[in-house]
Amino acid sequence: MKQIVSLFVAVILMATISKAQSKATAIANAKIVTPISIVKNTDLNFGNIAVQATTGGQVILSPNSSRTRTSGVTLPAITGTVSAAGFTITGESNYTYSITLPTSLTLTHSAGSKTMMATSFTSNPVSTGLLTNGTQNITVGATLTVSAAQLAGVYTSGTFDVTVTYN
Amino acid sequence: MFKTQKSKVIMPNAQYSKQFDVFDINNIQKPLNIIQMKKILILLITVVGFVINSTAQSTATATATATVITPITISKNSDMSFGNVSVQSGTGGSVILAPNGTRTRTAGVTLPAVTGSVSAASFTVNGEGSYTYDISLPSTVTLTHSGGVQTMAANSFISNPSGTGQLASGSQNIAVGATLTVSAGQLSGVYTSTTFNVTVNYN
Repeated sequence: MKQIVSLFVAVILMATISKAQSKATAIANAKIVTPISIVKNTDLNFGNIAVQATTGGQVILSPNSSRTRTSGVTLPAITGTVSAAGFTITGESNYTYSITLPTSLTLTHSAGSKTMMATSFTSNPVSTGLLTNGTQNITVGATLTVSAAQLAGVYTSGTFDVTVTYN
Repeated sequence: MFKTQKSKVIMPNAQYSKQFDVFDINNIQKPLNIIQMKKILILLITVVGFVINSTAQSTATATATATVITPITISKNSDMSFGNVSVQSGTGGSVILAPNGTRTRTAGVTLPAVTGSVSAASFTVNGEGSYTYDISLPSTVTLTHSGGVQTMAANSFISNPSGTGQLASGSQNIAVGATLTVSAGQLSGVYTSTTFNVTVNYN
């Protein structure tokens, strides 16, 4: 009978131990993933643009900072500053994330009344990024629509958002 | 079996019943079975999940800038005029009018001392300071006698500056000359062209 009691105690002790182990496992699973963050490196700049008096056109700024033009827009040899927007993402290594871009953005003449629209935002990588070593750079371009005889001058937007979210 | 056994062993995690002075195995606090442990794990994972969600998104802001440059324009100051030309009856020739307004002649053409009005065409280009631009000239222009039948052709148009200009301070004058071909025995009279285009484009 003493042996039976001893065995019973042993079973309870073992069970107690196993219970403690289960709690320890749960705590180990509570490791928090490195938060994802995004920091801007470079603003978007379409550079210098010329447009005809009677025909408008577009400037397509790709994520690699090259420009193409359509219709009545020409891109002068003096380019000015041309750059896609650049950002650095940091977070948990090998995690993927989605990239959210604006749909449209208004650029306003320094005098305050004339505007142009930037649309068709594109990024590289497109839509989804991968934090290979916990970090990745992304670049963002867009298409600028220029009206015929668009008033000469410098046009600037307010801020626009680029958001990254873990998948 | 346990209900009839008196024992001095105090068992951990067991309730001791004073009323019956026996152990009731049903009241022993049992270790968590596997289902209960899973529930706790799920609960913990859920809590962790909320923590992850709260840090799973980040937003940065940027601005966009573009510069529209002053449109380029061109306006004519003076028309092209080859002046007075004479030609032999048996041999034709040409008159080469340089952008600087001087003339040279070839073959059967001579240039009389009474020159008449001689001038290269002249234009003023305006636009964004220091920018460069391309100059496009016609290839051939036909000059027609006032009588309406006889013609001469002007070609080899040339400009100064040639090919590309630069708007050092937002403005530049350009001059355009050409070569007029005169046939032997060309009918005397005044020959006039219709308008021709000189086009400038930012490059």
